[in-house]
Amino acid sequence: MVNVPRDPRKLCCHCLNVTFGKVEETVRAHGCRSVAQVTELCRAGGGCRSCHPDIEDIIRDVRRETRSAGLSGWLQRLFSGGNGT
Amino acid sequence: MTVIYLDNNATTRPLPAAVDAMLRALRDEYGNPSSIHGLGESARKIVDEARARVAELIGARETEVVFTAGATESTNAAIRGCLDAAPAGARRLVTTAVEHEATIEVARHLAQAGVEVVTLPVDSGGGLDLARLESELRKPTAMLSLMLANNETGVIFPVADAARLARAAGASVHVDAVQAVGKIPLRVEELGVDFLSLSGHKFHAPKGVGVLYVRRGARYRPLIRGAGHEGGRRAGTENVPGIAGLGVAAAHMASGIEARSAHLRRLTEVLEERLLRIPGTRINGRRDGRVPGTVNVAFQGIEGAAVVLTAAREGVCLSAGSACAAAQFGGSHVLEAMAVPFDHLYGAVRWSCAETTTESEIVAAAGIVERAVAYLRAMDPAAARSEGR
Repeated sequence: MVNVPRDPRKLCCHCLNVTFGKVEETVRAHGCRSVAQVTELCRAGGGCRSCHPDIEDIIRDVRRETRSAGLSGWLQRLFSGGNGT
Repeated sequence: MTVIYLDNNATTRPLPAAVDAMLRALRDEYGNPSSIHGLGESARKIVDEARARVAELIGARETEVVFTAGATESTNAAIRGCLDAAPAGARRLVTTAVEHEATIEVARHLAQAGVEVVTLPVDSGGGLDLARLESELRKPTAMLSLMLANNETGVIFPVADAARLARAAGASVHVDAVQAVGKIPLRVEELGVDFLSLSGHKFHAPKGVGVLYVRRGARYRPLIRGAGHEGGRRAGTENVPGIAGLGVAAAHMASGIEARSAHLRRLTEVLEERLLRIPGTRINGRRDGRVPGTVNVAFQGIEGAAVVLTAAREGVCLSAGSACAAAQFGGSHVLEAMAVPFDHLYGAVRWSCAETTTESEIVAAAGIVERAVAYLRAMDPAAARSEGR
């Protein structure tokens, strides 16, 4: 899960009734890179749009986490004798 | 006869705690908040506490909260105050076709006085075209004024995006948030607005008191001039009892928003499911992206006002269009702007719930309205034919 404490049961988008958990799940499952993608997939962010900064935070956190997981895997493979590619 | 009150977008029942606070202020704390003796200080404390609660409700600084007599005044003050302060080359107002009369009439008056007014259309679901807004903002514009949630349909406008476009174009932004309070979070920073209007009686405070948020540094000249009340932004001795009640209601609205909106959403689902069983019925406004608790339903071939009056005989309080326009002849400007078909246009009935509304009330009221619709259609053979009987 992302590092920022965020209650997945709480609403992220009140206008469309979408929780933080659903937004994060959508971002992870589809590798979303923009709020527009998230809105298209799970509707979050399609109302007054004041939750867009929260959705952007989730996208950024998930991408950062995915990137750092990928990097540590690469380093592990490198030091365990693999070629790291 | 049991009353089922489903006209909460017109006005709400004041909270008992708000009434208690008002009575105390009216009976005991009758000093003038500007007086420097004890009674004056007590009244000042009531006003300050209420201001802090409103600031918390909308995510503003206390100094940015101005008490008014209601959202009509707030809207007048925001639009006129901003246009008054605008440079000569930018006396231009952009608004939408579905605003409350408080905005429409100010815009009309300003247009007569030489201000260029642009009225943006909406789509059939009541949504706003942001590309069209962006193109209209290419000319120097003093203000964009729009609703957060529509009073007739509950449709939510993309205010945060619209505000971003307006700010980038150098325009100030006013949002009429009257129907959104307590149903979706109101955070002025996230919305990116310079002005925000609220009416106390729409969220369980009394009538005759409202709020205008004026962002620090916003372009604004006061509408009501006199002594230096409200930081010089709205003259006139404060309505202390009204403000006391509003403060209590604001604190109530700021908490439990998720539970409240979940309850209202459930009521909306039950209501829509029941109403759509009636033949020749349509829900006006898109199904997604509306504030929970507001349902605008049109019954083909009959008059909404006739449904409202027939249901009222059995204690159900509804509204045909908005209460503010109910006394005016003609169809709703909101539904006309959404191009609602003619045979449904005059059959619109607005249902608006509060957190105190129960599911059994909704079911009972839907049954009463179903019978009212059948009765009215039976009286009018043309309506019966349009329904396919």
